[in-house]
Amino acid sequence: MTITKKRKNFLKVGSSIAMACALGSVTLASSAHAQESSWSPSQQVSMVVPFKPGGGSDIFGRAATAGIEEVRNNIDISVQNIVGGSGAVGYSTLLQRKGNPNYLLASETGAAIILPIMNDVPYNWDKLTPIAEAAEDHTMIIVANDSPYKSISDLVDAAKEGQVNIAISGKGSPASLSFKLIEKDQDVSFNRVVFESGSANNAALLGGDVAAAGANPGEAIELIKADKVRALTIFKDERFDRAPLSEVPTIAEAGIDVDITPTLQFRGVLASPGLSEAQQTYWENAIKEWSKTEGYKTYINNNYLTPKVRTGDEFADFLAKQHDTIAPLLKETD
Amino acid sequence: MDFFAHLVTGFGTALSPMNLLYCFIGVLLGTVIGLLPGLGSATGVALLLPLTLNLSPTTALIMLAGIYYGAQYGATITSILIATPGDSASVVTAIDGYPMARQGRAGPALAIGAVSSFVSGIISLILLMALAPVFASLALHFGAPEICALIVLGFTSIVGFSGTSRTKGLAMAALGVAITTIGLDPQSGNARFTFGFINLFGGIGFLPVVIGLFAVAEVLHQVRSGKVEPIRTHFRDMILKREDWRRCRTTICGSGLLGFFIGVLPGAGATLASFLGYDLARHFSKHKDEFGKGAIEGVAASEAANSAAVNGAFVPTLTLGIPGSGTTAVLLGAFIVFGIQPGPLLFTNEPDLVWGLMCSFFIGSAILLLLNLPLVPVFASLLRFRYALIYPCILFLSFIGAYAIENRMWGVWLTLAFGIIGYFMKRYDYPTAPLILGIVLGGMFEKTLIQTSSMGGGDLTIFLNRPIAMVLFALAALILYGPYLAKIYSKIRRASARKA
Repeated sequence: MTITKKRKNFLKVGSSIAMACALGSVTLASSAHAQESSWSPSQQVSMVVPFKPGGGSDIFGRAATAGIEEVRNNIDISVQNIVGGSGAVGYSTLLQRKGNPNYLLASETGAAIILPIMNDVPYNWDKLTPIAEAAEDHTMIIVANDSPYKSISDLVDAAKEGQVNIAISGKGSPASLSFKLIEKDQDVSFNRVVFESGSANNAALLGGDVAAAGANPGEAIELIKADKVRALTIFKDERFDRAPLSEVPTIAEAGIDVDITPTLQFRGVLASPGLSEAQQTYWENAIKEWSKTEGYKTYINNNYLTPKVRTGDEFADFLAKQHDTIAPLLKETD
Repeated sequence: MDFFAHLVTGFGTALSPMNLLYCFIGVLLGTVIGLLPGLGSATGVALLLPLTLNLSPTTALIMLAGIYYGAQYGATITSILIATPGDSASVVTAIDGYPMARQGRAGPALAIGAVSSFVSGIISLILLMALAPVFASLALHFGAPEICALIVLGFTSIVGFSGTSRTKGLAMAALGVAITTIGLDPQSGNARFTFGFINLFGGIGFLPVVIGLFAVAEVLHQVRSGKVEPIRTHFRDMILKREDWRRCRTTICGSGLLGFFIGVLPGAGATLASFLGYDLARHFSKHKDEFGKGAIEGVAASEAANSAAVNGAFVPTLTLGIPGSGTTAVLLGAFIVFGIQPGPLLFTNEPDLVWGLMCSFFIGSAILLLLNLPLVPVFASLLRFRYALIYPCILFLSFIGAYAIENRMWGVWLTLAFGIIGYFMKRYDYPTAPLILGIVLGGMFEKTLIQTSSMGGGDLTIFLNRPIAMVLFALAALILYGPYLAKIYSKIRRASARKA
C-alpha cells in the first residue's frame, strides 16, 4: 500500500511540475487522533477535481483551494484532476477514502446528481459527506440577435406550429432540463440537437442552425454584450443586479410558473463518507469564511455566478430536492 | 489604417523584455512538456497555468501561448526519433518521420519539421491577423452537416494510409470507429459497451492508443526482430539539403493553407488537419511511392498543416470566444481566470492584449526555430546510443506519459493493451494510421451525423440544402473515384484515337 502510494506520488512529480509539492504527502504525520472538538488537518489535503483542467469544475476547485488556504493558516491543499467516466472516477476516489478528512471534492449538479440517475455508477451523492454549496449557476434561453423570437411565448408559439431546433449540451444538462420544464408547462415540444459543449451550442446558434440554445450567463455574456445574441429568459428567482443581465426577465416574469430547482447548477464541496462532526464543521466553516473574502467575490463576478452558501442539513436538503425534481424529468425526456 | 498601428503596439508589447523573457520560458517549457509522450499542449497549458497567476494577464497569456507552441514541436521530436507522438496532432509526422530516422535521416526530418512549422506558422499568422473576422464568419457557416461532410472527406484519406492492402486499411479504420462507440453516448448520455466499468464511461482515450500502437508496439517489434543496431549518422546527413527544401516548398504552402482552414473550424482540430494535409501532399507528389517509407514531404506536410491549424484555432477563439481546439479551450479558461471575458468584443476591449498576443506568436515561432535548429544534431545523435539503453527509456517515458494523461494507472493498462495489439498488427502487417484516423474521426462523425439528422427532425435530406456540404461530398467522391475515371477516360481516348 505504502509502496504503491509512493510510486504514484513519484510519477505525478515526474509528470507535472505544478504538483511538485505532492512529494510532501509521502511522509504522513500521525495525528489523526487529535481531539475531535478542535480538529484541523495535519497533513496535505487533496482537492479532487473530477474533470479536466481548464473547465468550470477546475476553475471552481482552484478558486476554492486558494480561498481555503487564505482563510486557514498552515494548511496545504493540492488540486488533483482525477478525470474519467464523466466525473465518476473522481467521485469513486472519495468513496474509497472512507473516514479520511483530507480529501475534498469539487462537485456540481451534473456528476453529483444527474450521472447517478442516468447511469449505473458505484456512488451516489448521498453516500458522500455534504460540506457546502458555494455558488449557483443559472440557465438562460438565448437566441441570435436577429431572431424573430422576442420572448419565450414567441418561441413556444413557433413550436406549436412547426419544428423549432434548440441546442443543448447533453440530455441531462441544465439546458435540456430547462427546456423540458417549458415544454411541460406549455404543452409543446422542441426539437433537441445535442452538442458537446456550451461553446458548440453558441456556434450553432450564431450559424443559424438552431433557433434557441440553453446557456449559463458566463457562456453567453460576451455574446450578449456584443449584440450577437439575446437572452429571452433566465431560470432564476430574481433578476441579476448588474447590467446587461439585469434586463433579462426571469422565467416567472416570462409567464411560466415552474420550480427552477432542477435547472440550477450548484458548485460546492463534498467530502469522503464517514467524517466526524468536528471534521465536517471545520470544512463548512472554511467555505463560509472563504465566501466573505475578496477572492470569492472575484470568482463569482468573473464567472457570472450567484453567491449562495448552504451548509449542513440545508445543503443536504437541497441536494435531495434537486435529485427528487430532476429524476422524474429525466425519465420523461427520451 | 488601424491595422498597422495595432501591429506596432502589438510588437511593442510582445517585444518588451519581460514578455520576451516569458515567451522564451514558455517555449522552452513547452518543448520539454511536448517531449513527454501523453503530455500534450492542452495538459501542459493547464498544468502550468497556476505558475502564471502572479504575472500580468498579457505576459501570462504570452507565456501560455509559448507553451502551446513549444509543446507542438516537442511532440514532433519524439514522433520522429522514437515513433512516440507526444500528442495527437503529430501522429502523422511519425508515419514518415520515423522511417526517415531509421534510415539515418533524423536530422533532415527534424529540421524540415521545424522549418515547415515555422513557415506555415508565419503564413497562417498573417492570415489570422489580417483576416480573422472574415474567417470567423466563414467558420460559422460550417455547422454540423458541413463538419460531417468534411469528416467523410477525411475518411477518404484512409486509402493513402493503408500501405500494402486496402482491405486491411479499411478493417483497421472500422476498428478505430468501433472503439469510439465505447463510453457514454453523446446523444442520450447512456453507457454503451462499458460492461459496468466506470473506467470505460469516458471512452477509450486517444493518447493511450497512440502511445501503445506506436511506441510500445515498435519496441516489442524491434526486440523480437532481434538485430537492432544503433543508427549510424554522419554530421553531413543531418543538415537539410537544398534538394530537400525544393521538394517541400509547395507542400508546406499547400498543406499549411489547408491546415489553417481546418483549424479555423470549431471542433475539427489540428489532428484532422495533419491527416488531410498529408493526404493532399501525397496526391500531388511526384514521389507517391515513398510516402509512408520516409518521404520528407510527408513530414513537412503534416507539420505545416498542424501548426497552421494551431493558429487557425485562434480565429474563433479570439473573435467569438468559441474555442477552436482543446488547447484554446484551456486558454479561454485562463482568460477567465485573469478576469478577461473572451468574446466578440475582445478585439475592441483589449486591443493591447490581443495584438500583443498575436505578435508574440511571431516571436514565439522565431524563438522555437532558433532554439531547435541548432539542437537538431544533438537530438538526432541520441539515436546513436545502443538500443539496450534507448528501449527501456522509451518504455519508461511511454508509461509515464500514459499515467500522466489522467494521473492514474488506467491509462497505463490501456497503453500496454494497445501495445500488444499493435505488436500483432505489425507482425501481420496491418497499418496503424487508419486505426488512429478511425478513432480521431469516428466520434466526431457520429456526433455530427446525429446532430445533422436531429436538425432535420430525423431526415438526412437536410444535406441537400447545404451547398458547402455537398461540395465536400463531391470532393470526397472525386478523390475516391477520380483515378478510375481518369483511367477509363484515357482508355476511351486511346480507343477512339486508334479508330481514327
